[in-house]
Amino acid sequence: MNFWILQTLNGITFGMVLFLLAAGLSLIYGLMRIVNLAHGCFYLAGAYIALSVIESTNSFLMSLLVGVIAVSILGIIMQRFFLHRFQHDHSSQILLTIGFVLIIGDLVLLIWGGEPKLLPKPLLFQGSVSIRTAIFPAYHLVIIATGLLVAIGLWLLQDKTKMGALIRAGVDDTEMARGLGINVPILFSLVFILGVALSAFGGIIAGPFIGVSPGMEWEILLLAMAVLLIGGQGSLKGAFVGSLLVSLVDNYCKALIPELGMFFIFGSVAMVLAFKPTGLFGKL
Amino acid sequence: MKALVADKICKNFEGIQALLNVSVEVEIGERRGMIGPNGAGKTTFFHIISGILSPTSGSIYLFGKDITHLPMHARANLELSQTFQLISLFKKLTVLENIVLALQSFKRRKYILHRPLSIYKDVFNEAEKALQEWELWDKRNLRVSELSYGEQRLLDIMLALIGKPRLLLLDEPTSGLSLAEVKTVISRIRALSREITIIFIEHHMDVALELAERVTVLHMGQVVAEGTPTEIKRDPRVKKIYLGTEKG
Amino acid sequence: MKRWMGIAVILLLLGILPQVLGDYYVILLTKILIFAIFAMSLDIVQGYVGLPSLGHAAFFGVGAYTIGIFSIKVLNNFWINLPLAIVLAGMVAALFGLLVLRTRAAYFFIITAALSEVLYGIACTWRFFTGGHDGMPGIARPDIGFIPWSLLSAANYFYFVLFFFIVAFILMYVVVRSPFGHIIVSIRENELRMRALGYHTWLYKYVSFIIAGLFAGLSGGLLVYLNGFVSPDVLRISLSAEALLMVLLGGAGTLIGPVIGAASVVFLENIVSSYMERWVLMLGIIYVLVVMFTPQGILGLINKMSLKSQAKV
Repeated sequence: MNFWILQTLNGITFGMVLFLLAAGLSLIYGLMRIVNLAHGCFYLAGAYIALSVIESTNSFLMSLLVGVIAVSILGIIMQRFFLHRFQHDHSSQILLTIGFVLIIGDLVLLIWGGEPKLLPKPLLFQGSVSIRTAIFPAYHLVIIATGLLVAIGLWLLQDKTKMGALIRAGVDDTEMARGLGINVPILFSLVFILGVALSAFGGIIAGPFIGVSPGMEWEILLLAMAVLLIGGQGSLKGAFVGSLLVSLVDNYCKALIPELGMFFIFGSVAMVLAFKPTGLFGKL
Repeated sequence: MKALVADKICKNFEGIQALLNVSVEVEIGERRGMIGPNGAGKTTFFHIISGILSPTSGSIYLFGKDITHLPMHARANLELSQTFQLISLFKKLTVLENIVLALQSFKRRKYILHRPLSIYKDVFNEAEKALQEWELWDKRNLRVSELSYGEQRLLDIMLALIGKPRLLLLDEPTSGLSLAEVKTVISRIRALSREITIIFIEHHMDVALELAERVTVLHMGQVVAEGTPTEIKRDPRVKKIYLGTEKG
Repeated sequence: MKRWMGIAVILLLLGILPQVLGDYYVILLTKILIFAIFAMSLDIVQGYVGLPSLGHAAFFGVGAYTIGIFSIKVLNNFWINLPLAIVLAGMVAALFGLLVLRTRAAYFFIITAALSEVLYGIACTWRFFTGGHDGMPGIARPDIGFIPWSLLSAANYFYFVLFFFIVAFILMYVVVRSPFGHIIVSIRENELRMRALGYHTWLYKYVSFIIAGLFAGLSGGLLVYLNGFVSPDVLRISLSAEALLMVLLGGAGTLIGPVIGAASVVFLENIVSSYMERWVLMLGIIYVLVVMFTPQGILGLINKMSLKSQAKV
């Protein structure tokens, strides 16, 4: 019984991390229709940069700030100087972002080496908590809480703020938004940065939980895409629910039959899409 | 038998009622105009006739045949043809290539995989005839993007007529055209044979009332009035809709 | 006229090279031809139909495993096994096509990846048939029988593959130039109008998808005969991504572009990696540069340059 509780908790915890990525991906693809295969790289880079910062300053908070900011800068550069030229050209976006994945992936390998690394937990949350007979690391609960906070924050942003309305308008009709005087390029850049920052943030807080290693940028990208497909692109709720589902399936499979992990995840994707091509909560 | 019978068409988009109990009957050979303010549902109605959208409820009969759930390409083969609000040509192809493409659709050889396109002479001959008639033969090797807007619209309409349809749907055929171009398009439409039934959406009221034999007025997804152009001009409900819209 | 001369020269070169180069390079050339077939088949889906696919390895893998399984467990007869590999790959494409062709382009990308991952999972776990993760070694080269050549030598196998490459290229070229091919491209440009004109667009896309699957299966089979073994790696998304790269790098929708792309990618990955430790970084930089400076791929660049030189004259 304990085994299942632990697996479920792990699944929910990772689900929150995945949500951060999926939400970012949904924003970037949903608003700007940009296929960004380098999305997993922001996660990766964030975690590694944070690792270095912690090793020199011992402050998790510092590493969080520096990591997110540094990766955001990377993201702006990528979007402003490279991606913005290929607005509707998916093929070029794919080729370009694959190039970036290779570059960033190899640089990471060069700077930090090929060994999987685990970030140290923040001092505050190093203990454990017990529920019934199971004992969990407290940090897990912190991740879950953080994920929920971000989810609520994003929901408020989307539904209750002007920026959120602008984003939704932009998603629905870019031409119209432009016509209404909304500065679409700036909006795009802001949204892109938000997506990138979420991804980096996810990588950093997941650092003490699942660690980081070269090659993760592809795995996590695939999972985030699976989430979008199942949950439906353009929907925050879909990203949330989808993240939990994918994460739980992934976790149970990894615990039971590791090789079939991707099989079950993508099998589920295929099944959901067979019945509801726009995903569970999809709008388009 | 009527050319088109739309029976209580309703269309719902996630809570927005785009069309409510729209029933329209068009006689064979008739020229029917559809007018109404922006957002009235005219294009949505056209999409349901042509098959781009499925109605939430109601039926469509084309020359007596129920086509409500027939796929779009099958309706074209039943001699239904249409143009869209935005000119929808193959921009990278030449004028001639566009026509050939449209002609080929009605030949069995569109399924051939193993011979090059250029050896099929009869298609090119037919294309030449049609282009000569519409005075676009000289421009046959120009890319669509090199034509003037008015010429593109003419080509657009030509493409819809190439298959010799019995029902032609024209969605705002004169939008964006200069006065002279509008005159050309109107005279071309006028010159079409009575074997073709034409239903057209028009925003230029005068064009609509000039070209149509009967007019259907849509407002907020419902048929508000129907009659001859004279009747419609005098109809107080129609005046209210348009005047109301102008004020607001 | 110039074009035919150029082709003749290239063919002559390809005929002579294996006699001159060492085995390592001949095998590399063989790989290039095999992947060229694979990339051309992807181009039909990606470049001509216009649907970017990340799951093309599925058909490659089916072709590969058919050869593997039948050669070892059933009957080692290439006359039966290779056609079977092609047919089975086509059938899987027919099945997948039903599932994926109703979706929008961007989803198509991921769903095809999903389906190939499903096959990957099956290959990994169906140990009895596929040997699981370790794969199946010990697959012999085809025995042609009536021809007294052995295909064991690198050069002879190269000529064998060259034959298939030429046949595949000609077949795909003919299809692309036919009315069918022109219609496919027009569907890519404006599907709605094509449907309005009476074309059964889904059917055209479906048939193209199957054709692409057939040729992908052929290339998978040829690779297995080259390597002598098959493993689940032939079904990975990374292989699909590599093919995608070859198509985009060379120039999508041109058939010749993917051939150039295949040669470039195989060359880069094998030669560059032996000179540079950070060759992955180099590869990434090259891809970024290609997109930024010649978005139509290498073939696009060649075309632009030849237009410029023509204009000068």
